[in-house]
Amino acid sequence: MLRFPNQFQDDALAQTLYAVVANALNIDPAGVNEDSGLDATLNWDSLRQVILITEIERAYDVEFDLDTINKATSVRSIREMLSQKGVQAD
Amino acid sequence: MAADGAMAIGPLGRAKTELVGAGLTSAKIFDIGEEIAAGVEISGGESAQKLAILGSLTTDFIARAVACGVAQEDVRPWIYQGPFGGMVQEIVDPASGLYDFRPDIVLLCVDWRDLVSPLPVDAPEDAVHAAIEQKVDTFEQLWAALSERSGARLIQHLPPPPTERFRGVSERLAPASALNQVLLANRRLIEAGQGRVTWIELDRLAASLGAARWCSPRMFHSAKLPFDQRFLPEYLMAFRGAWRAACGRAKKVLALDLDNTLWGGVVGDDGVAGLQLGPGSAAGEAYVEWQAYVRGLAERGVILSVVSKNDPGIAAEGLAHPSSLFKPADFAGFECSWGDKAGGLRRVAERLNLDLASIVFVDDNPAECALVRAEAPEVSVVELGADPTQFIARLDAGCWFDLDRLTTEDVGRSAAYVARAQGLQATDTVIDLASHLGGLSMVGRVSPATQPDLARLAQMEQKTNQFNLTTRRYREADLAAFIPRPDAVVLALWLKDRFGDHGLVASLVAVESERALRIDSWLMSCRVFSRSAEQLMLRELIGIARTRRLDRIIGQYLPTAKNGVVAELFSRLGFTKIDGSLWSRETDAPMNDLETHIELAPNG
Repeated sequence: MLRFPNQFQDDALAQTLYAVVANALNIDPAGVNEDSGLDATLNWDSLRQVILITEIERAYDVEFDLDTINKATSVRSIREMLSQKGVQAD
Repeated sequence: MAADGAMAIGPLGRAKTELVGAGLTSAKIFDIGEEIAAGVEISGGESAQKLAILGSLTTDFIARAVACGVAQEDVRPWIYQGPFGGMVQEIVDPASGLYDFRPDIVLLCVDWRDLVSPLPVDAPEDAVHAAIEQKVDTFEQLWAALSERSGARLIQHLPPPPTERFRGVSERLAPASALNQVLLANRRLIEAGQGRVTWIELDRLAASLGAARWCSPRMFHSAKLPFDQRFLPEYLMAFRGAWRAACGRAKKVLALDLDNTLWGGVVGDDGVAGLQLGPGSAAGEAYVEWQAYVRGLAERGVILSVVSKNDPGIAAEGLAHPSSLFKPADFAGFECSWGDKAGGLRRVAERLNLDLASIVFVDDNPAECALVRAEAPEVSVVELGADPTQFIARLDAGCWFDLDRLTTEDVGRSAAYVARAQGLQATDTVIDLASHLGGLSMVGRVSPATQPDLARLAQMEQKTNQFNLTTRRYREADLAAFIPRPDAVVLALWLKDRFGDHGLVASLVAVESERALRIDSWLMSCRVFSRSAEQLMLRELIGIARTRRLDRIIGQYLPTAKNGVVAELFSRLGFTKIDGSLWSRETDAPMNDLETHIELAPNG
């Protein structure tokens, strides 16, 4: 798919999945683990979910479909979705 | 996560320091915007503004971008977000939360779904026009209700049409296609909203970013987002452009570096012949196109100025390049020295009698940009980078010079400021003020304003900060209401001198009160300060008051942070202080003290 570069954004730096999630949720990375998820983790609500998905897609250069967006509601499930796309996140 | 040091300055400060360059991301806008909207920072006397955001779809992301954008303009935003899908209800219900909030600005987040009527694809043109006029009528009623009940300024989205295609080019010839309905509705809305609504061109933004990416069906169906929120940074810049236009704060000056900015190469090192400018190389052609764009801005009233680290003589040689579209006289300021550029920008502002905040500075060099950001934070800085083919897009992305509409004064302004710069230089050669003013051969026309002057007068009301006695900020509709009143006067002054035609440069609104004529608003463009125009206008006003057999002229001065220049105006014009902010001058007093060097035009 064609990528339309956002002139204001740098390409994502290499970083861990926890760091990407923490950054998107604006929380301390130490507070993120495999069980972190929607409505269970600080700041992770349905609006943040949109930000989070966008940040994950940007960091790993993937694109999720609607079904995946709806299911990717925990760090564990996001890791699994990434793995299905052939991405092994740290 | 925010760094510890950044937390200390609070979200308003962070919007300015962190949301720049690579830091301007959707996630950061979301975080900082949320903190600002939550109002965790106590207002410290800075200017504040209440913004209400209404839409038919999800506005949570937009609300956060608005909060950040207004903070970046040095105003403290208070945000009200209307209920989901409740745009029309909020406006028509006088008891809604919207009116309780008492907004200064209302942002209407309109989507194409609000504009398209479900017509058969072969519906005739008449039917389509009728359906669209009905939509436009509805908006006119909503705007009228908003203005009447809140007095707020209005900003509205111009949505892009939907992207799905059916049977190719045939849709373009079908008036009822969604594409054509949106195109026509947007055009008609702009026409109907003239003088009332400022627009955010989301249609143009979507087209330039890629309409298919902009209108993300994923985002629409999963979160009812009108556009993919990854474009929040671009939205924020477009919003700021509209906000500045609505608040009369569009930028006025483009200050340019020279080497590797106006041409490729360094004129002092490469010589004029070695510069990349003009045919022969891709970069040279790109620089000429960029120069043509900059010239196009000047033709639309943007004042150009050079701020460069160079020897002035050598810098001017670069402009003598055969492909250069500029000559030194095209610039109202030419600051070439080895001193810092922030100092040069200050001298430009001083010379033009404008705020630093009215300047956009462009430079290819990141270090120079950073220095100006630090030393002159009021100046908006655009880093052009190293690729001249991207310069136009990088400058345009900021929407710095966006206006609701062009007035004849906008088109003539650039020339008028260049004329003023030459007028200032002429000052050096004359000794006393009177002979200097006499030497300017000024001709003025003072007459009651009429309908065609209203757009310019309203624009001056919104953006004149210095020579503005009461800062009442009358809008076009307010001024239109004064004109027919027999007990009111709206005077306008047009001024020419030997350097150029300055156009409509001053206005005055006065209303009869008992036996007096009371000046409610008096404004003058800063480029004609100290020209004895105030004496000329007062003479005219006294003449009118005498005809109406009124005893006194009453003037009022309401101080603001910026209008100190007129604090002594009424005292200088022979008024006596009567009470607090009010001053009085008898109409039958002789007018010998009101000496003016402006000759009245024959029809004046």
